[in-house]
Amino acid sequence: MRILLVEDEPKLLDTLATRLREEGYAVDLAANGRDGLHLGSEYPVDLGIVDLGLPDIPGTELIKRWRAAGHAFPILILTARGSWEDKVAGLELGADDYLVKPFHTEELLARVRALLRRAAGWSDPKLRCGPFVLDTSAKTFTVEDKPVELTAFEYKVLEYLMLHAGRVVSKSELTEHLYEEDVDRDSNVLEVIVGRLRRKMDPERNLNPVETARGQGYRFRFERAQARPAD
Amino acid sequence: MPLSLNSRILVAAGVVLVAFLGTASFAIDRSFRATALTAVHERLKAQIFMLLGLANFDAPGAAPMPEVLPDPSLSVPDSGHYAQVFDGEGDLLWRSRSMLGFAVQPPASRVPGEFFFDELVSSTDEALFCTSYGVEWETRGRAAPSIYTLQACEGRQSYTLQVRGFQRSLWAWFSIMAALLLMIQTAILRWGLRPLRAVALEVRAIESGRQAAITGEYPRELRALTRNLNALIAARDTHVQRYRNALGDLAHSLKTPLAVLRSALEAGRFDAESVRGMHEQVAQIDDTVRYQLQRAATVGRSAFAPPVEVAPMIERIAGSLRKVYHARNLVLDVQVDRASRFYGDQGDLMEVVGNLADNACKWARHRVGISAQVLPLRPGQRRPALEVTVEDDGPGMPEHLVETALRRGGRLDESAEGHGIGLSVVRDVIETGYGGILSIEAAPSGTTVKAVFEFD
Repeated sequence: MRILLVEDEPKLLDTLATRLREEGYAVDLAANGRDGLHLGSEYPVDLGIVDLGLPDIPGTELIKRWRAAGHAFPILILTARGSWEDKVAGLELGADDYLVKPFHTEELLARVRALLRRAAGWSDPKLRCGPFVLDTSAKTFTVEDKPVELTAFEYKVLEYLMLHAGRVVSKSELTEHLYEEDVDRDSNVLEVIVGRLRRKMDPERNLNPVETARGQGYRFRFERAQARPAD
Repeated sequence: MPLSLNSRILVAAGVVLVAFLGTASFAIDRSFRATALTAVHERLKAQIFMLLGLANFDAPGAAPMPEVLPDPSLSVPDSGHYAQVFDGEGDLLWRSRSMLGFAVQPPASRVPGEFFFDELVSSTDEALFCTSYGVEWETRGRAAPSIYTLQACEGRQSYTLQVRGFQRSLWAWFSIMAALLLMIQTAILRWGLRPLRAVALEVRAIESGRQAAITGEYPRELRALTRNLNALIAARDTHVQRYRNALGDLAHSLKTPLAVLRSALEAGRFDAESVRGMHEQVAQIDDTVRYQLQRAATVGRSAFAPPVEVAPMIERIAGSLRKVYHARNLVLDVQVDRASRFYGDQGDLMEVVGNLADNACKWARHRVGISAQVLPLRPGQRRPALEVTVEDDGPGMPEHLVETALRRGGRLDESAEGHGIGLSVVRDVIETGYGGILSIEAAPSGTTVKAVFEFD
């Protein structure tokens, strides 16, 4: 999943970026509002994390402009001003959640996971599709309650496919959402990963959870088991 | 700059005075002229009656009047009193000796038995008031009575002088009256506005720090103003005091954790134990800053705060929380009495409702209820108290934790972020800002938190 982080404090930007990347997210960084506005408009962002106190364009203005331009990705506000007046104002402008500084990084990660799930229409941290269960909090994967070991990148690909279970996801969509802009993209790598995933998820080759839609991309065949009504 | 009150009232009073005196003098002048003219007329009539008594028309050809007349002014030339007698054809029969060397035309109407008043001009251009009277005179030996007309005239001069004299004294008196009235007016004004000047002086004294509040006794009309000024000053003082206390407390309670952190850093040991200790200190610093800053930001009730409509504001908070807790599938039930008004700072109310509702959402299983209602007015109360109730269907806070929650900075649940701080802030806003009460009722079926705000 691709996250845009807009924060003007370099230390915090750096720490958060490192932590988010450790979690397997592709992270785009902006140290000011102008860059943030540009990145948010140009790239297929899955989630924006925005500090409200930016030096050039205020965070609230940034959110307003994104929303006005039709970008609907979820936004998490970081703010040093913890008053409810500010929180409500930010949420009414189009943000989806807020976090008051100083915060625990774990808290931030939990909110990020929740927002990403919510944007894809999931409410439970455990994504259940047929016999497959991906626990986004614990980052574990089980097939018929038996744990399956996944590498970080395999997890990322599977998470994206399962979040959008039932929908065809093109290879370019996958690369755009899983890689940062300056990473060398090679679609062969994706094919290899998907191949490995298929073997791990379905050693007997009778479930075929990830279909290949020829010329279009991949589709996680099992519909979500516990989907909530549309948000 | 707008005109001063003094000038406004003086200008208005001056205009009214001039208009009144002008109209009055015009009316008085008119009525004086009418009276003077009537007097002239009456005098001339009396003269005609006198002449009629003296007249003798029985001897044709002879003068109809005796040589010597009882009114000597008719015999002195140019005395301003004149008389003439005309016959039926309007030919002059006799004229008084005062009419030496000039003539006055006969009256235009010579109907017998009727007085006729006219203003005429003599042949020497003297303006005159003239009254004439026609008589039918029966002479022995004649069949038909003869008609004669008697005319008495008076120079306009004396009338004019009389009117002018009257006008002069009228204007003199009116001027004196106007001056007197303006002086009285000014005195009344000074007396009436004296309390205002006194208030201004007191305010200046407060500005320069010589005085803490307005202490003088003022008339009823000003009492509302001075009371509000005092309330404003008191509110400002409370606010400043709150800032000062918060900053003092902040500094005080930051120093201990900072000292612990510094000594830990200087010790240079970073094993799990000491890192956990440092985390605790950082958390304590965070709590302290949040709590004290919020305490300082509390505005509190005020006599001047325009009433805040409670319903739309709680709806806004509920909307925000629905967004934030979207994934939890909570039902946020808002029931606010439409008449609910909050006489204080909107930020304070948002802080209280926001924190309480946020806590409730964290603990709730399925449902959070937020309701607000106006409490009945108690005797002597000007503005009704407001009760905000937030309830959840969570596991319910244990009794001893309720106590902790209400203690300053008490933290209930480390994972439910800022829970303790939230409740402490809420309690502080309600109790010190609005003199109200925060009460918590915890049961296994859920927790109910009631906040009562007072505004008087």
